[in-house]
Amino acid sequence: MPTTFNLPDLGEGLQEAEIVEWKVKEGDTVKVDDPLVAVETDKAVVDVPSPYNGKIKKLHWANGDIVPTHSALVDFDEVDGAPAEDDAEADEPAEQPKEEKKTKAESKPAPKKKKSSGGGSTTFNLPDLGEGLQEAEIVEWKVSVGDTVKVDDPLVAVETDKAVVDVPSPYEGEITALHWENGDVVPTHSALCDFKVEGEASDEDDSDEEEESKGGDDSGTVVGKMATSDDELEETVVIRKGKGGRRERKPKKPAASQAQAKSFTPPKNITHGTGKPKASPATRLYAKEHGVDLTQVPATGSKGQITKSDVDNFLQSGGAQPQHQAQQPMGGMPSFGGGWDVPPHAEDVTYGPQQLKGPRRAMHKSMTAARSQVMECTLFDDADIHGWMPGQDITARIIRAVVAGCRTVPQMNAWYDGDKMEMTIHRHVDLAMAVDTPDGLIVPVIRDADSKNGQQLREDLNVIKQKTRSREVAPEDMKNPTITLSNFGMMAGRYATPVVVPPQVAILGTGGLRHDVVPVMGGVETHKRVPLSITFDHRCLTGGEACRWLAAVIKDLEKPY
Amino acid sequence: MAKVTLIEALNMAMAHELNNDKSVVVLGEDVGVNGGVFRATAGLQEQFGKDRVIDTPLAEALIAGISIVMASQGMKPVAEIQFSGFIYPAVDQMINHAGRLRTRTRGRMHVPMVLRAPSGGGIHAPEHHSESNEAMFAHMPGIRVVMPSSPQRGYGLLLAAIRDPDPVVFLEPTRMYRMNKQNVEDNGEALPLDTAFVLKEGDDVTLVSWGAMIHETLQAAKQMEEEGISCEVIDLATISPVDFVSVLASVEHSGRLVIIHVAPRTAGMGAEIAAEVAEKALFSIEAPIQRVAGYDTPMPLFKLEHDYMPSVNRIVKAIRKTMED
Repeated sequence: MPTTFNLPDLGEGLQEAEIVEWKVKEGDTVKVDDPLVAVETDKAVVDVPSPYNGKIKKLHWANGDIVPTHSALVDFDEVDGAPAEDDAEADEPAEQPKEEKKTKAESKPAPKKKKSSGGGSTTFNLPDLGEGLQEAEIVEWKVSVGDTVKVDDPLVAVETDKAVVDVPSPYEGEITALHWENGDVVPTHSALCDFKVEGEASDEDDSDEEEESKGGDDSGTVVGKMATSDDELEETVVIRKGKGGRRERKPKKPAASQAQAKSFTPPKNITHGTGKPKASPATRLYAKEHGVDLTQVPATGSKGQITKSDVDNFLQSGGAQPQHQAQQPMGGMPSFGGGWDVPPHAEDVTYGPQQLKGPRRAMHKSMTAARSQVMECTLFDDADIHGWMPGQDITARIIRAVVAGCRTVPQMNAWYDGDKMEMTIHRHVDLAMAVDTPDGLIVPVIRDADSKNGQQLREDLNVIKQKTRSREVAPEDMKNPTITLSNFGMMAGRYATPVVVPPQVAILGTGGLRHDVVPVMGGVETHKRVPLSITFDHRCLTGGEACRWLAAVIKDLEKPY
Repeated sequence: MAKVTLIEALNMAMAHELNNDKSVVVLGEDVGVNGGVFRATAGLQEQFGKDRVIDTPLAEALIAGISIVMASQGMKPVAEIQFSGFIYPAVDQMINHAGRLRTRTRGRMHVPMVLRAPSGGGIHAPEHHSESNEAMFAHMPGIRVVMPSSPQRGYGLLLAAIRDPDPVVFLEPTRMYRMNKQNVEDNGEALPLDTAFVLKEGDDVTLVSWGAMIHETLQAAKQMEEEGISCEVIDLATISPVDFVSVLASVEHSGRLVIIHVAPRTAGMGAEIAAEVAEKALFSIEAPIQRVAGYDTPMPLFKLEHDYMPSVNRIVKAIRKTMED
């Protein structure tokens, strides 16, 4: 069946192409994809492949002719077999029968010659073969691993929706890997093959030729007033990139003026890679507000950083170094045979009968007095501190809450003389803080706790902590408290029945903070709560007073800040 | 070895490469007969001829455009823009062609050109003559931005920029052109691009700067040293892409960072560096990152220029602020 093949659009709306060379002559029999003619466009020289199996009847143009796009190129005498490809861009002469109007056009312009820009290995990604096609199928690799190719050598034949095209090599070099096999469908821009690219020869010889500098003076306005000096610039330059970036920390030189550098404290113990503790700014602020030295805090964060809970745990553990965890037996549950780990005897304990000494004797006396005099009654509740703003000092907050309770029910901040049935209500709160020490209970007093702010309370607490540890608490520091706080929760224990020491009439115990499941409207949430236990002397105080006092404590404690 | 100023070192580098590589050409307004408004190209036309050192019309778009064409066809043009305030007509060429020709042609073409321009204020020049637009170029993909801060780095980095296979915007701190001299050996040895230079090692705070502000930054570091605060001074040198390896290593070590640049504060390179450090080294930062920068106004005329430029005093204040936390 005779038919005419028109010059297809070779891409980018080009209007014409020049016939470089006919690859066929009239009378030749060609197959689909046989090159018919080489044509040159503005962009490149391309072969136009035959869309048909058949016999060439007539060539419409001679070499050197300029052919407008879509004009008749070749007449075929007999055409058999359907072209392999469906081509959306097919040239469609009106007179052509419908089933024969299929062509294949190679629209990919040949790449320009390009020298590789540097040595080393490089990956060549499947280029966009035109018109936003998303993928192409590998028809056939034209190279294999180890081959050396030149720029423009065909690497692989790929089939897109439009055509089968050869992808030319953009580099000169050795093929080191082919990422796909024949038949694979490759997404555009994914790695196609790897090259070992030959580096550009360095032809940059050191030249001995001295260039005479021609820098004359120039004082035009636009160049402004420039500082000019013959002073030599002295520099020591370090290039750190490529050496892993890291470096050793040099020992810090002593500061020449402590006044200026006062806020910079070199780390006390180096526990992290760069010698300084890692922590988020929020955690640093939190630690600072709580007087915690981050260099002392063990880090559990994913990048070795100290988290806020690490600081909390550190505070809960009394700011001490972490206890060594009892070793769990490896691999499986502890059995009653091996891995039954009983702690050894403490070494600093005298076993057997012995006289009480020091603080323990004082405790004996005060507890005996309490037992014989006070009619104790204890009330329990919790304060929900879910709404706290970050950075709250828990101990200072509890003290403030006690003060708030005593402002609401001053009778709880009192002394009671049972023999005289006389009650003395105190204007100021002198709060006794029960501090546990190896020698026994020491109970220093924070004077005028009701007139101090959080920072002052924290300072007092730090002094108390330091004095009790070094056993420097003077007897007058422990005299005449008006109410007592026992903050036992940092060890264990939720609620307790703390014992009122006469002549005081109340003692508040606070257990450990914990997350409780709290019913809220519409479900349950976990909130942090402080367990509270208030023991009062029922001889002089009513249950109602204790309840109102505790309600005021809770109300203050639950404030966000 | 010669003791030369920055401007002389740049002249040396261009002469060396003109001699060394026949594909190198120098072009720009007044670069030939006149030798450049700042004399960066003095004597080059005499030595290498009018074909290789080319005077152009007053048309920055043309200067960049023909440089791109020459570069894409195998030459290595070194184009001069007379003042960075006049670079803006060339920006279209740089962003639309220089920066993306490699991508557009899928690697078949590349643009080994250098666009040189004086940069920064502090020389009492008229309007448009004191721009600091490095962040604008840093925001353009495909373009390297380099700023030397000494004669040695001027020489080595300009050689590297000319030899680089891709476009480099080479911004020269005008104020430093003749500020001091340094021994520069004309040995054709390039310095690495994309690498920061540590000019002073220190432990307590990292100071990152570039271009002319290195001068003030080093003075501030010296002053703090006398007060017992040890500063590490990093010259970024390549503004894009930033050598974050060096910056992060330093900040992780010191825990404190002050960034100093003369360009306006908002969306300046200081913002980019602070953001990257916050992302990558947050847990090492011990105090808020400080930026000492120009203000968000055009560079004022010279009576107020002194107030605009970051001073040693402003840098010292920022360092002290980081040491408070």
